[in-house]
Amino acid sequence: MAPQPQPTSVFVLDNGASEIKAGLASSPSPTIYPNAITRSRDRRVFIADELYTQCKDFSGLVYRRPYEKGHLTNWESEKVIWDRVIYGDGSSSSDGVRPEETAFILGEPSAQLPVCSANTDQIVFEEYGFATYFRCPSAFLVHENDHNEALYQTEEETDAQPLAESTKKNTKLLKSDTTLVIDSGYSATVVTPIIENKVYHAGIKRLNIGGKLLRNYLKETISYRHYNMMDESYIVNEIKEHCCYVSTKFAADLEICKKFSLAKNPLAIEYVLPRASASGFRAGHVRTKSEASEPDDQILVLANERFSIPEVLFHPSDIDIAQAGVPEIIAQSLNTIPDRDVRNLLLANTVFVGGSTKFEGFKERVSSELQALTPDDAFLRLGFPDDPITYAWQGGARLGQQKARLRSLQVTKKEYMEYGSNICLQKFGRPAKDDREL
Amino acid sequence: MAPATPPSNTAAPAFSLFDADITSAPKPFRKPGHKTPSRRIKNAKQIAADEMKRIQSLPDESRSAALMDTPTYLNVEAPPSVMPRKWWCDITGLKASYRMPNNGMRYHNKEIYEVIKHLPPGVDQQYLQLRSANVVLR
Repeated sequence: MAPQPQPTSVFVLDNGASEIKAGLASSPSPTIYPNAITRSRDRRVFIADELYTQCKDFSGLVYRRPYEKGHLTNWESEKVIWDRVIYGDGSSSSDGVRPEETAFILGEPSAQLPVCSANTDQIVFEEYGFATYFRCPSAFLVHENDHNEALYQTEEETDAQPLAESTKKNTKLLKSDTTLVIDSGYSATVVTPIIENKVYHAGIKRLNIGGKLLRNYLKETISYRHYNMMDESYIVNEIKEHCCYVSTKFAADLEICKKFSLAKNPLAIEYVLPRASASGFRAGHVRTKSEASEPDDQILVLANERFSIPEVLFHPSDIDIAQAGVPEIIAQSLNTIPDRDVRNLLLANTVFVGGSTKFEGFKERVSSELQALTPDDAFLRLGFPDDPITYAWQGGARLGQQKARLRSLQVTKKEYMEYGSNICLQKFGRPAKDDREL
Repeated sequence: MAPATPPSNTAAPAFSLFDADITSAPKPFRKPGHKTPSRRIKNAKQIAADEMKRIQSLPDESRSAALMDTPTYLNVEAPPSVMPRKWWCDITGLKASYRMPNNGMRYHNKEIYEVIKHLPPGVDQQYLQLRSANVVLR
Protein backbone atom coordinates (compact mmCIF):
# COMPACT_ATOMS: atom_id res chain seq x y z
CA MET A 1 0.00 0.00 0.00
CA ALA A 2 1.35 3.43 -0.84
CA PRO A 3 2.52 5.37 2.23
CA GLN A 4 -0.05 7.90 3.37
CA PRO A 5 0.71 11.42 2.24
CA GLN A 6 1.50 13.96 4.92
CA PRO A 7 -1.58 16.01 5.77
CA THR A 8 -1.51 19.37 4.05
CA SER A 9 -3.42 21.39 6.63
CA VAL A 10 -4.33 21.32 10.30
CA PHE A 11 -7.91 21.70 11.46
CA VAL A 12 -8.40 22.77 15.06
CA LEU A 13 -11.74 22.20 16.74
CA ASP A 14 -12.42 23.24 20.33
CA ASN A 15 -15.55 21.31 21.31
CA GLY A 16 -17.51 23.13 23.96
CA ALA A 17 -20.90 22.44 25.48
CA SER A 18 -22.18 25.81 24.37
CA GLU A 19 -20.10 26.68 21.33
CA ILE A 20 -17.73 25.02 18.89
CA LYS A 21 -14.71 27.07 17.91
CA ALA A 22 -13.24 25.65 14.73
CA GLY A 23 -11.03 26.60 11.85
CA LEU A 24 -7.81 25.86 10.01
CA ALA A 25 -4.73 26.46 12.10
CA SER A 26 -3.47 28.90 9.50
CA SER A 27 -6.42 31.26 9.92
CA PRO A 28 -6.12 34.11 12.43
CA SER A 29 -9.32 33.35 14.30
CA PRO A 30 -11.86 30.55 14.52
CA THR A 31 -15.44 30.42 13.37
CA ILE A 32 -17.80 30.11 16.28
CA TYR A 33 -20.77 27.76 15.93
CA PRO A 34 -23.38 27.26 18.63
CA ASN A 35 -23.15 23.61 19.59
CA ALA A 36 -26.87 22.94 19.43
CA ILE A 37 -29.76 22.20 17.13
CA THR A 38 -32.39 24.80 17.81
CA ARG A 39 -36.06 24.90 16.98
CA SER A 40 -37.92 28.17 16.86
CA ARG A 41 -41.52 28.74 17.77
CA ASP A 42 -42.62 28.46 14.14
CA ARG A 43 -41.16 24.93 14.03
CA ARG A 44 -38.11 25.75 11.94
CA VAL A 45 -34.98 23.83 12.75
CA PHE A 46 -31.54 25.47 12.72
CA ILE A 47 -28.28 23.59 12.84
CA ALA A 48 -25.41 25.36 14.66
CA ASP A 49 -24.81 28.81 13.17
CA GLU A 50 -27.90 28.79 10.95
CA LEU A 51 -29.46 30.26 14.08
CA TYR A 52 -27.70 33.57 13.57
CA THR A 53 -28.17 33.82 9.84
CA GLN A 54 -31.66 32.47 9.36
CA CYS A 55 -33.63 32.83 12.56
CA LYS A 56 -35.89 35.87 12.74
CA ASP A 57 -37.56 35.39 16.09
CA PHE A 58 -35.48 34.37 19.08
CA SER A 59 -38.35 33.95 21.50
CA GLY A 60 -39.33 30.47 22.51
CA LEU A 61 -36.19 28.82 21.16
CA VAL A 62 -35.80 25.19 22.14
CA TYR A 63 -32.28 23.84 22.24
CA ARG A 64 -31.14 20.28 21.70
CA ARG A 65 -27.54 19.95 22.82
CA PRO A 66 -25.24 16.99 22.32
CA TYR A 67 -23.56 17.80 25.62
CA GLU A 68 -25.50 16.85 28.71
CA LYS A 69 -24.11 17.81 32.12
CA GLY A 70 -20.69 18.10 30.52
CA HIS A 71 -20.74 14.64 28.87
CA LEU A 72 -20.91 14.28 25.08
CA THR A 73 -23.73 11.77 25.02
CA ASN A 74 -25.69 12.50 21.86
CA TRP A 75 -23.52 11.74 18.83
CA GLU A 76 -26.55 11.77 16.56
CA SER A 77 -26.88 15.53 17.05
CA GLU A 78 -23.19 16.17 17.30
CA LYS A 79 -22.53 14.43 13.98
CA VAL A 80 -25.04 16.70 12.24
CA ILE A 81 -23.36 19.76 13.72
CA TRP A 82 -19.86 18.52 12.97
CA ASP A 83 -20.83 17.79 9.37
CA ARG A 84 -21.67 21.45 9.03
CA VAL A 85 -18.50 22.57 10.81
CA ILE A 86 -16.14 20.25 8.93
CA TYR A 87 -17.66 20.04 5.49
CA GLY A 88 -19.07 23.56 5.43
CA ASP A 89 -22.58 24.49 4.50
CA GLY A 90 -22.18 24.11 0.77
CA SER A 91 -22.03 27.85 0.14
CA SER A 92 -19.05 29.43 -1.53
CA SER A 93 -18.16 31.56 1.50
CA SER A 94 -17.26 28.60 3.68
CA ASP A 95 -14.98 25.98 2.20
CA GLY A 96 -15.12 22.70 3.91
CA VAL A 97 -12.17 20.63 4.85
CA ARG A 98 -11.17 17.33 3.26
CA PRO A 99 -10.57 15.07 6.23
CA GLU A 100 -8.39 12.52 4.40
CA GLU A 101 -5.65 15.09 3.95
CA THR A 102 -6.10 17.06 7.16
CA ALA A 103 -4.55 16.75 10.57
CA PHE A 104 -7.14 17.13 13.31
CA ILE A 105 -6.64 18.73 16.72
CA LEU A 106 -9.59 18.36 19.08
CA GLY A 107 -10.06 20.08 22.41
CA GLU A 108 -12.58 18.53 24.77
CA PRO A 109 -13.64 19.39 28.33
CA SER A 110 -11.30 18.38 31.15
CA ALA A 111 -11.87 15.05 32.88
CA GLN A 112 -14.28 13.64 30.32
CA LEU A 113 -15.53 10.15 30.96
CA PRO A 114 -13.33 7.78 28.95
CA VAL A 115 -16.34 6.23 27.26
CA CYS A 116 -17.32 9.59 25.76
CA SER A 117 -13.77 10.21 24.56
CA ALA A 118 -13.59 6.74 23.03
CA ASN A 119 -16.79 7.35 21.10
CA THR A 120 -15.28 10.58 19.83
CA ASP A 121 -12.13 8.78 18.68
CA GLN A 122 -14.19 6.25 16.77
CA ILE A 123 -16.26 8.91 15.06
CA VAL A 124 -13.18 10.90 14.05
CA PHE A 125 -11.50 7.98 12.34
CA GLU A 126 -14.36 5.84 11.13
CA GLU A 127 -16.94 8.42 10.11
CA TYR A 128 -14.75 11.29 8.97
CA GLY A 129 -11.46 9.55 8.33
CA PHE A 130 -9.03 12.27 9.30
CA ALA A 131 -5.42 11.66 8.36
CA THR A 132 -4.10 12.25 11.87
CA TYR A 133 -5.74 13.08 15.17
CA PHE A 134 -4.76 14.63 18.47
CA ARG A 135 -7.25 14.94 21.29
CA CYS A 136 -6.58 16.74 24.55
CA PRO A 137 -8.42 18.67 27.24
CA SER A 138 -9.01 22.20 26.02
CA ALA A 139 -7.08 23.39 29.08
CA PHE A 140 -4.01 21.92 27.41
CA LEU A 141 -4.70 24.00 24.32
CA VAL A 142 -4.99 27.08 26.53
CA HIS A 143 -1.57 26.20 27.94
CA GLU A 144 -0.11 26.07 24.43
CA ASN A 145 -0.41 29.84 24.08
CA ASP A 146 2.56 31.94 25.06
CA HIS A 147 0.99 33.77 27.98
CA ASN A 148 3.98 35.96 28.57
CA GLU A 149 3.48 37.51 25.17
CA ALA A 150 -0.26 37.45 25.07
CA LEU A 151 -1.39 38.15 28.61
CA TYR A 152 1.14 39.30 31.14
CA GLN A 153 3.07 41.83 29.15
CA THR A 154 0.67 44.60 29.98
CA GLU A 155 0.86 44.06 33.75
CA GLU A 156 2.08 47.16 35.52
CA GLU A 157 5.08 46.71 37.72
CA THR A 158 4.54 47.38 41.38
CA ASP A 159 6.13 50.41 42.99
CA ALA A 160 7.92 48.15 45.43
CA GLN A 161 9.92 46.40 42.71
CA PRO A 162 10.45 48.64 39.73
CA LEU A 163 12.26 46.84 36.97
CA ALA A 164 15.43 48.48 35.76
CA GLU A 165 15.34 49.70 32.19
CA SER A 166 18.11 47.34 31.18
CA THR A 167 16.25 44.40 32.70
CA LYS A 168 13.15 45.26 30.76
CA LYS A 169 15.08 45.44 27.53
CA ASN A 170 17.15 42.32 27.95
CA THR A 171 14.80 39.90 29.58
CA LYS A 172 12.47 37.98 27.38
CA LEU A 173 10.43 35.70 29.49
CA LEU A 174 10.44 32.11 28.31
CA LYS A 175 7.21 30.31 27.74
CA SER A 176 6.30 28.59 30.95
CA ASP A 177 5.71 24.86 30.95
CA THR A 178 3.35 25.17 33.91
CA THR A 179 -0.05 26.80 33.78
CA LEU A 180 -3.12 26.84 35.98
CA VAL A 181 -6.15 26.99 33.68
CA ILE A 182 -9.51 27.97 35.10
CA ASP A 183 -12.23 27.34 32.53
CA SER A 184 -15.59 28.76 33.53
CA GLY A 185 -17.78 27.60 30.71
CA TYR A 186 -21.33 26.52 30.06
CA SER A 187 -21.57 23.30 32.08
CA ALA A 188 -19.08 23.86 34.86
CA THR A 189 -16.02 25.67 36.14
CA VAL A 190 -12.98 23.44 36.01
CA VAL A 191 -9.53 24.13 37.42
CA THR A 192 -6.85 22.21 35.54
CA PRO A 193 -3.19 22.44 36.57
CA ILE A 194 -0.74 21.71 33.79
CA ILE A 195 2.70 20.88 35.11
CA GLU A 196 5.70 20.37 32.84
CA ASN A 197 3.47 20.32 29.77
CA LYS A 198 1.28 17.49 31.07
CA VAL A 199 -2.16 17.72 32.56
CA TYR A 200 -1.98 16.95 36.28
CA HIS A 201 -5.15 14.95 36.62
CA ALA A 202 -5.10 14.63 40.39
CA GLY A 203 -5.41 18.39 40.68
CA ILE A 204 -8.47 18.83 38.50
CA LYS A 205 -11.36 20.29 40.45
CA ARG A 206 -14.81 20.81 38.98
CA LEU A 207 -17.43 23.20 40.32
CA ASN A 208 -20.81 22.39 38.84
CA ILE A 209 -21.69 26.02 38.22
CA GLY A 210 -21.42 27.46 34.74
CA GLY A 211 -23.25 29.67 32.32
CA LYS A 212 -26.12 27.20 32.12
CA LEU A 213 -26.84 27.26 35.84
CA LEU A 214 -26.50 31.05 36.04
CA ARG A 215 -28.90 31.46 33.15
CA ASN A 216 -31.43 29.06 34.68
CA TYR A 217 -31.16 30.78 38.05
CA LEU A 218 -31.79 34.14 36.38
CA LYS A 219 -34.74 32.62 34.52
CA GLU A 220 -36.32 31.43 37.76
CA THR A 221 -35.70 34.74 39.50
CA ILE A 222 -37.19 36.79 36.69
CA SER A 223 -40.14 34.43 36.36
CA TYR A 224 -40.83 34.68 40.06
CA ARG A 225 -40.54 38.45 40.29
CA HIS A 226 -41.45 39.91 36.91
CA TYR A 227 -42.48 38.06 33.76
CA ASN A 228 -42.67 34.35 33.10
CA MET A 229 -39.59 33.65 31.02
CA MET A 230 -39.10 29.97 31.71
CA ASP A 231 -39.24 29.18 27.98
CA GLU A 232 -36.95 31.95 26.85
CA SER A 233 -33.45 30.55 27.18
CA TYR A 234 -31.89 32.70 24.49
CA ILE A 235 -33.38 35.95 25.71
CA VAL A 236 -32.49 35.35 29.35
CA ASN A 237 -28.97 34.47 28.30
CA GLU A 238 -28.71 37.85 26.59
CA ILE A 239 -30.05 39.57 29.69
CA LYS A 240 -27.45 37.81 31.78
CA GLU A 241 -24.66 38.90 29.46
CA HIS A 242 -25.83 42.50 29.23
CA CYS A 243 -26.95 43.21 32.77
CA CYS A 244 -25.16 41.01 35.27
CA TYR A 245 -21.91 41.85 36.94
CA VAL A 246 -19.85 40.57 39.87
CA SER A 247 -19.94 42.88 42.84
CA THR A 248 -16.75 43.47 44.81
CA LYS A 249 -18.72 44.54 47.87
CA PHE A 250 -21.75 42.32 47.90
CA ALA A 251 -23.21 43.18 51.29
CA ALA A 252 -23.00 46.91 50.63
CA ASP A 253 -24.66 46.59 47.25
CA LEU A 254 -27.42 44.51 48.77
CA GLU A 255 -27.97 47.23 51.39
CA ILE A 256 -28.26 49.84 48.63
CA CYS A 257 -30.88 47.75 46.89
CA LYS A 258 -32.75 47.33 50.15
CA LYS A 259 -32.69 51.05 50.92
CA PHE A 260 -33.88 52.46 47.62
CA SER A 261 -36.99 51.69 45.66
CA LEU A 262 -36.56 50.37 42.16
CA ALA A 263 -37.14 53.79 40.62
CA LYS A 264 -34.40 55.53 42.67
CA ASN A 265 -31.94 52.67 42.99
CA PRO A 266 -28.61 53.71 41.47
CA LEU A 267 -27.78 50.10 40.71
CA ALA A 268 -31.04 49.28 38.93
CA ILE A 269 -31.19 49.25 35.17
CA GLU A 270 -33.99 48.92 32.69
CA TYR A 271 -33.71 46.27 30.03
CA VAL A 272 -35.87 46.55 26.94
CA LEU A 273 -36.95 43.07 25.93
CA PRO A 274 -36.43 42.05 22.31
CA ARG A 275 -39.37 41.94 19.99
CA ALA A 276 -40.08 40.69 16.53
CA SER A 277 -41.99 43.42 14.78
CA ALA A 278 -43.06 44.02 11.21
CA SER A 279 -39.93 46.04 10.53
CA GLY A 280 -37.67 43.22 11.64
CA PHE A 281 -36.27 41.86 14.84
CA ARG A 282 -35.26 44.41 17.45
CA ALA A 283 -32.67 43.00 19.78
CA GLY A 284 -32.91 43.43 23.51
CA HIS A 285 -30.77 46.15 25.03
CA VAL A 286 -30.20 48.12 28.20
CA ARG A 287 -32.13 51.37 28.15
CA THR A 288 -29.95 54.41 28.55
CA LYS A 289 -31.33 57.53 30.27
CA SER A 290 -31.52 59.58 27.10
CA GLU A 291 -33.43 56.95 25.17
CA ALA A 292 -37.11 57.55 24.65
CA SER A 293 -39.30 54.61 25.44
CA GLU A 294 -41.62 53.41 22.73
CA PRO A 295 -45.18 52.71 23.78
CA ASP A 296 -45.16 48.96 23.24
CA ASP A 297 -41.78 48.31 24.82
CA GLN A 298 -41.65 45.66 27.48
CA ILE A 299 -39.28 46.75 30.20
CA LEU A 300 -37.61 44.59 32.77
CA VAL A 301 -36.14 46.38 35.77
CA LEU A 302 -33.30 44.50 37.40
CA ALA A 303 -31.63 45.56 40.61
CA ASN A 304 -30.14 43.01 42.97
CA GLU A 305 -30.50 40.22 40.38
CA ARG A 306 -27.66 41.93 38.53
CA PHE A 307 -25.04 40.93 41.08
CA SER A 308 -26.66 38.17 43.10
CA ILE A 309 -26.81 35.79 40.13
CA PRO A 310 -23.04 35.77 39.46
CA GLU A 311 -22.46 35.75 43.23
CA VAL A 312 -23.31 32.06 43.04
CA LEU A 313 -19.92 31.48 41.42
CA PHE A 314 -18.30 32.67 44.63
CA HIS A 315 -20.84 31.37 47.17
CA PRO A 316 -22.56 28.27 45.78
CA SER A 317 -24.06 27.75 49.22
CA ASP A 318 -26.46 30.60 48.40
CA ILE A 319 -28.48 28.13 46.38
CA ASP A 320 -27.60 25.16 48.55
CA ILE A 321 -24.90 23.68 46.34
CA ALA A 322 -22.45 22.03 48.70
CA GLN A 323 -19.30 23.08 46.88
CA ALA A 324 -16.73 25.78 47.33
CA GLY A 325 -16.62 28.94 45.19
CA VAL A 326 -14.17 29.71 42.41
CA PRO A 327 -11.28 31.14 44.49
CA GLU A 328 -11.54 28.28 46.93
CA ILE A 329 -11.51 25.53 44.32
CA ILE A 330 -8.32 27.09 42.99
CA ALA A 331 -6.89 26.76 46.50
CA GLN A 332 -8.19 23.17 46.72
CA SER A 333 -6.56 22.30 43.44
CA LEU A 334 -3.24 23.75 44.60
CA ASN A 335 -3.44 21.80 47.84
CA THR A 336 -3.25 18.55 45.89
CA ILE A 337 0.27 19.47 44.80
CA PRO A 338 2.94 18.66 47.37
CA ASP A 339 5.70 20.84 45.95
CA ARG A 340 5.60 24.44 47.13
CA ASP A 341 7.67 25.74 44.23
CA VAL A 342 5.29 24.19 41.73
CA ARG A 343 2.36 25.77 43.56
CA ASN A 344 3.97 29.19 43.35
CA LEU A 345 4.77 28.63 39.71
CA LEU A 346 1.15 27.78 39.03
CA LEU A 347 -0.04 30.91 40.83
CA ALA A 348 2.31 32.99 38.70
CA ASN A 349 0.83 31.51 35.53
CA THR A 350 -2.94 31.43 35.87
CA VAL A 351 -5.27 31.89 32.91
CA PHE A 352 -9.01 32.41 33.10
CA VAL A 353 -10.94 31.31 30.03
CA GLY A 354 -14.56 30.60 29.30
CA GLY A 355 -17.60 32.75 28.82
CA SER A 356 -18.52 33.04 32.48
CA THR A 357 -15.28 34.88 33.25
CA LYS A 358 -16.45 37.79 31.14
CA PHE A 359 -18.58 39.29 33.89
CA GLU A 360 -17.56 42.82 34.80
CA GLY A 361 -15.82 42.76 38.16
CA PHE A 362 -14.95 39.06 38.00
CA LYS A 363 -11.25 39.77 37.75
CA GLU A 364 -11.12 42.11 40.75
CA ARG A 365 -13.20 39.81 42.90
CA VAL A 366 -11.15 36.71 42.13
CA SER A 367 -7.91 38.65 42.68
CA SER A 368 -8.87 39.85 46.11
CA GLU A 369 -10.34 36.56 47.29
CA LEU A 370 -7.49 34.48 45.92
CA GLN A 371 -4.94 36.73 47.62
CA ALA A 372 -6.61 35.91 50.90
CA LEU A 373 -6.31 32.17 50.28
CA THR A 374 -2.72 31.98 49.07
CA PRO A 375 0.54 32.56 50.92
CA ASP A 376 1.81 36.12 51.29
CA ASP A 377 5.00 35.51 49.42
CA ALA A 378 3.30 33.94 46.40
CA PHE A 379 3.45 36.13 43.31
CA LEU A 380 -0.05 36.07 41.83
CA ARG A 381 -0.41 36.67 38.12
CA LEU A 382 -3.94 36.25 36.86
CA GLY A 383 -4.25 36.22 33.12
CA PHE A 384 -7.50 37.31 31.49
CA PRO A 385 -7.26 37.04 27.69
CA ASP A 386 -8.97 39.59 25.50
CA ASP A 387 -11.21 36.92 24.09
CA PRO A 388 -11.65 34.17 26.66
CA ILE A 389 -13.85 32.13 24.36
CA THR A 390 -11.39 31.66 21.52
CA TYR A 391 -8.20 31.58 23.60
CA ALA A 392 -8.09 27.77 23.70
CA TRP A 393 -8.50 27.61 19.92
CA GLN A 394 -5.62 30.10 19.53
CA GLY A 395 -3.46 27.71 21.51
CA GLY A 396 -4.54 24.86 19.27
CA ALA A 397 -3.66 26.90 16.20
CA ARG A 398 -0.25 27.62 17.70
CA LEU A 399 0.24 23.90 18.33
CA GLY A 400 -0.84 23.21 14.77
CA GLN A 401 2.06 25.28 13.46
CA GLN A 402 4.58 23.18 15.37
CA LYS A 403 4.64 20.29 12.92
CA ALA A 404 7.35 18.18 14.53
CA ARG A 405 5.85 18.36 18.01
CA LEU A 406 2.38 17.59 16.69
CA ARG A 407 3.76 14.56 14.84
CA SER A 408 5.05 13.13 18.11
CA LEU A 409 1.72 13.64 19.87
CA GLN A 410 -0.79 12.53 17.29
CA VAL A 411 -2.29 9.23 16.18
CA THR A 412 -2.36 8.52 12.44
CA LYS A 413 -5.18 6.73 10.70
CA LYS A 414 -2.84 3.86 9.87
CA GLU A 415 -2.02 3.37 13.54
CA TYR A 416 -5.70 3.46 14.42
CA MET A 417 -6.52 0.83 11.82
CA GLU A 418 -3.75 -1.39 13.10
CA TYR A 419 -4.13 -1.08 16.84
CA GLY A 420 -7.70 0.02 17.31
CA SER A 421 -9.03 2.70 19.60
CA ASN A 422 -6.75 1.68 22.47
CA ILE A 423 -3.89 3.47 20.77
CA CYS A 424 -5.77 6.72 21.34
CA LEU A 425 -6.18 5.98 25.04
CA GLN A 426 -2.52 5.19 25.30
CA LYS A 427 -1.14 8.14 23.39
CA PHE A 428 -3.45 10.85 24.67
CA GLY A 429 -2.94 9.86 28.25
CA ARG A 430 -5.52 8.81 30.71
CA PRO A 431 -5.97 9.93 34.27
CA ALA A 432 -5.33 6.55 35.84
CA LYS A 433 -2.17 4.57 35.84
CA ASP A 434 -4.07 1.31 36.07
CA ASP A 435 -5.23 -0.05 32.75
CA ARG A 436 -8.83 -0.19 31.78
CA GLU A 437 -10.41 -2.35 29.17
CA LEU A 438 -13.02 -0.67 27.09
CA MET B 1 -29.05 -3.20 -11.21
CA ALA B 2 -26.09 -5.41 -10.43
CA PRO B 3 -23.18 -3.43 -8.87
CA ALA B 4 -20.63 -4.64 -11.43
CA THR B 5 -20.74 -6.87 -14.45
CA PRO B 6 -18.63 -10.03 -14.29
CA PRO B 7 -15.74 -10.17 -16.82
CA SER B 8 -16.93 -11.59 -20.07
CA ASN B 9 -13.85 -13.61 -21.04
CA THR B 10 -14.16 -16.15 -18.21
CA ALA B 11 -16.45 -19.15 -18.49
CA ALA B 12 -19.83 -18.28 -17.03
CA PRO B 13 -20.03 -19.94 -13.58
CA ALA B 14 -23.15 -21.84 -12.59
CA PHE B 15 -23.74 -19.53 -9.62
CA SER B 16 -22.99 -15.82 -9.95
CA LEU B 17 -22.50 -13.75 -6.85
CA PHE B 18 -23.32 -10.62 -8.74
CA ASP B 19 -26.73 -11.89 -9.76
CA ALA B 20 -27.48 -13.11 -6.26
CA ASP B 21 -26.79 -9.66 -4.78
CA ILE B 22 -30.13 -8.22 -3.75
CA THR B 23 -28.97 -5.12 -1.88
CA SER B 24 -29.28 -2.83 -4.85
CA ALA B 25 -32.51 -4.29 -6.20
CA PRO B 26 -35.43 -1.89 -5.95
CA LYS B 27 -37.64 -2.49 -2.93
CA PRO B 28 -40.93 -0.67 -3.47
CA PHE B 29 -42.36 -1.95 -0.20
CA ARG B 30 -39.76 -0.04 1.87
CA LYS B 31 -40.31 3.64 2.76
CA PRO B 32 -37.45 5.64 1.20
CA GLY B 33 -36.58 7.92 4.13
CA HIS B 34 -37.06 5.39 6.88
CA LYS B 35 -34.40 5.33 9.59
CA THR B 36 -34.47 2.88 12.45
CA PRO B 37 -34.81 4.76 15.73
CA SER B 38 -31.45 4.85 17.36
CA ARG B 39 -31.56 3.38 20.82
CA ARG B 40 -27.84 3.33 21.35
CA ILE B 41 -27.66 6.85 22.75
CA LYS B 42 -27.19 6.84 26.49
CA ASN B 43 -27.92 9.97 28.41
CA ALA B 44 -25.63 11.44 31.03
CA LYS B 45 -27.25 9.67 33.98
CA GLN B 46 -26.92 6.26 32.30
CA ILE B 47 -23.29 6.88 31.39
CA ALA B 48 -22.45 7.94 34.94
CA ALA B 49 -24.31 4.89 36.31
CA ASP B 50 -22.45 2.59 33.90
CA GLU B 51 -19.16 4.04 35.02
CA MET B 52 -20.03 3.46 38.70
CA LYS B 53 -21.09 -0.11 37.90
CA ARG B 54 -17.84 -0.75 36.07
CA ILE B 55 -15.83 0.57 39.00
CA GLN B 56 -17.82 -1.53 41.49
CA SER B 57 -17.19 -4.65 39.44
CA LEU B 58 -13.43 -4.23 39.47
CA PRO B 59 -11.40 -6.52 41.77
CA ASP B 60 -10.92 -5.12 45.27
CA GLU B 61 -7.43 -3.67 44.88
CA SER B 62 -8.14 -1.64 41.75
CA ARG B 63 -11.58 -0.71 42.99
CA SER B 64 -10.33 1.35 45.93
CA ALA B 65 -7.76 2.95 43.65
CA ALA B 66 -10.42 3.78 41.07
CA LEU B 67 -12.73 5.24 43.67
CA MET B 68 -10.29 7.37 45.60
CA ASP B 69 -6.82 7.70 44.15
CA THR B 70 -7.35 8.05 40.46
CA PRO B 71 -9.21 11.13 39.25
CA THR B 72 -12.28 10.33 37.18
CA TYR B 73 -15.10 12.57 36.04
CA LEU B 74 -17.13 11.41 39.00
CA ASN B 75 -14.64 12.32 41.67
CA VAL B 76 -13.04 15.54 40.45
CA GLU B 77 -15.98 17.45 41.88
CA ALA B 78 -14.86 20.22 44.17
CA PRO B 79 -15.52 19.45 47.83
CA PRO B 80 -17.57 21.78 50.06
CA SER B 81 -16.15 25.01 51.31
CA VAL B 82 -14.39 25.38 54.65
CA MET B 83 -15.25 29.07 54.91
CA PRO B 84 -18.13 30.03 57.20
CA ARG B 85 -21.36 29.85 55.31
CA LYS B 86 -23.64 32.84 54.68
CA TRP B 87 -27.25 32.32 55.65
CA TRP B 88 -30.23 34.09 54.15
CA CYS B 89 -33.57 34.72 55.80
CA ASP B 90 -36.22 32.21 54.82
CA ILE B 91 -38.94 34.84 54.64
CA THR B 92 -37.33 38.02 53.32
CA GLY B 93 -34.12 36.88 51.66
CA LEU B 94 -32.05 39.38 53.63
CA LYS B 95 -28.97 38.45 55.59
CA ALA B 96 -29.96 36.06 58.36
CA SER B 97 -27.95 36.37 61.53
CA TYR B 98 -30.38 34.44 63.71
CA ARG B 99 -31.79 30.94 63.86
CA MET B 100 -34.98 29.60 65.37
CA PRO B 101 -33.93 26.95 67.84
CA ASN B 102 -36.95 24.67 67.46
CA ASN B 103 -37.06 24.18 63.69
CA GLY B 104 -33.86 25.81 62.37
CA MET B 105 -35.44 28.56 60.28
CA ARG B 106 -33.19 31.52 59.60
CA TYR B 107 -34.48 35.07 60.05
CA HIS B 108 -33.27 38.65 59.68
CA ASN B 109 -34.58 40.57 62.69
CA LYS B 110 -37.08 40.55 65.53
CA GLU B 111 -39.98 41.67 63.31
CA ILE B 112 -39.67 38.50 61.30
CA TYR B 113 -39.24 36.50 64.46
CA GLU B 114 -42.69 37.65 65.53
CA VAL B 115 -44.07 36.33 62.22
CA ILE B 116 -42.26 33.02 62.34
CA LYS B 117 -43.17 32.37 65.97
CA HIS B 118 -46.81 31.97 65.07
CA LEU B 119 -46.62 30.04 61.80
CA PRO B 120 -49.15 27.19 61.53
CA PRO B 121 -47.69 23.68 62.02
CA GLY B 122 -46.84 22.55 58.49
CA VAL B 123 -45.94 25.93 57.01
CA ASP B 124 -42.52 26.22 58.63
CA GLN B 125 -41.53 22.85 57.18
CA GLN B 126 -42.69 24.07 53.78
CA TYR B 127 -40.36 27.08 54.08
CA LEU B 128 -37.53 24.76 55.03
CA GLN B 129 -38.36 22.50 52.10
CA LEU B 130 -37.47 25.36 49.77
CA ARG B 131 -33.87 24.94 50.81
CA SER B 132 -34.09 21.17 51.42
CA ALA B 133 -33.71 21.56 55.17
CA ASN B 134 -37.06 20.11 56.18
CA VAL B 135 -37.52 17.04 58.34
CA VAL B 136 -38.56 14.03 56.27
CA LEU B 137 -40.08 11.15 58.19
CA ARG B 138 -39.82 7.80 56.46
